Amino acid sequence: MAVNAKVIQDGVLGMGLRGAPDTGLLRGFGVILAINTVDYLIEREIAFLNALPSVEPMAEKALVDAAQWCANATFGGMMKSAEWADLIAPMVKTKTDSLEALHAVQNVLGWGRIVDYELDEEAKTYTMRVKHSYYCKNYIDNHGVSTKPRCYMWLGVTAGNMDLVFGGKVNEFEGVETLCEAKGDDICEFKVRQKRSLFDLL
Amino acid sequence: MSNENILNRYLGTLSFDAERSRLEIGGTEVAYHCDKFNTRILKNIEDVMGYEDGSKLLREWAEKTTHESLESFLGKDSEFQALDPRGRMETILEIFKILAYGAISIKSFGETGAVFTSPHSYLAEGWLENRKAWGWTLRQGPACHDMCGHLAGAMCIAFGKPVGSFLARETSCRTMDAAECVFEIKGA
Repeated sequence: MAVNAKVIQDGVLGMGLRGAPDTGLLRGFGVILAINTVDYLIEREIAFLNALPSVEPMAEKALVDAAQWCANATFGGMMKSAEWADLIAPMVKTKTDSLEALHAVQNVLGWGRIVDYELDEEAKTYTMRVKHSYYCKNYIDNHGVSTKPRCYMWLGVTAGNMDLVFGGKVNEFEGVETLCEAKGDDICEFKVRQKRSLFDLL
Repeated sequence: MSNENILNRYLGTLSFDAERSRLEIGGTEVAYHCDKFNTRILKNIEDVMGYEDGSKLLREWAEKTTHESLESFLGKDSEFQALDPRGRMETILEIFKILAYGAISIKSFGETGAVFTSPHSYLAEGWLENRKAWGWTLRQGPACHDMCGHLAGAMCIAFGKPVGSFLARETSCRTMDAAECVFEIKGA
């Protein structure tokens, strides 16, 4: 494996990820980061969905969309940053390397752990699996076991990873969460493929 | 700085659980997110719910969760508890800097109300970057709803009051071309 995830993770964590003493802003990898409580991140989304039961699918799509744009802008920006050029770019030669480098960064942000994935470059399909997604235990603790998948941010990021690896245009790919710990599964699983007019992975 | 020990203790609690890829500070689980994500969430919630309802939702959840996370750490810190309300507030604003919410100054401060200003509020900074990157327009209403909630929650901690004791609103915002963001807090 060309990409050394440990080196990337140590490098990112070693940057001292906190706001600057003067501005209180945390700029790095071409973006501005902030540290929010997991409760805030989840409960604002669940409250948003609960406020609009009649249009819940549209509201869910808005949450996924925010994350897919985030993936493109944030990780796309990261891939152009000086930090990426110094720390990560030397390890990246293939699309698989790019994905693994993205996974390594995504695994230090407090979102939960990407534990494995499958990429079919020819078919342009991608399956990613996550343990300890920040949504799941909190969702169950506060709302009980869910009747449906809940990891909206992860779903957008998974599709966004493919947007980035295959050319960089936002919303070229779309996905579904097929398993979710919030509804009692052992793992969260996301399946992504290029958008088609008729898309139904389930 | 009188609160240096408290801030060092707080920073010392930042830990990364590599097996779960989860982060914690002050005994509360946290995560990094970028301005692009948070401003898109803000925009999408406002677009779908409407400005007033979207703002209220974000303010209220930011207040509740900020209060809980600060209370879980500072409520047990005897040095923090010995500070007067203004000292407590100054300490919390330093914690907000650590959390990368931006730098906030106290313009006036008391139990019946307070005014804070910020030339670097995080969400405003992100929105302004999106104007360049994505052609987003100047806003018609303030953007820093979560900062309002963070400050309302902080006021409750500073004065030892329950959540909901203060109302915060942003009266001026850089996303509307103001020089700085201004937050007015009043007793509820």
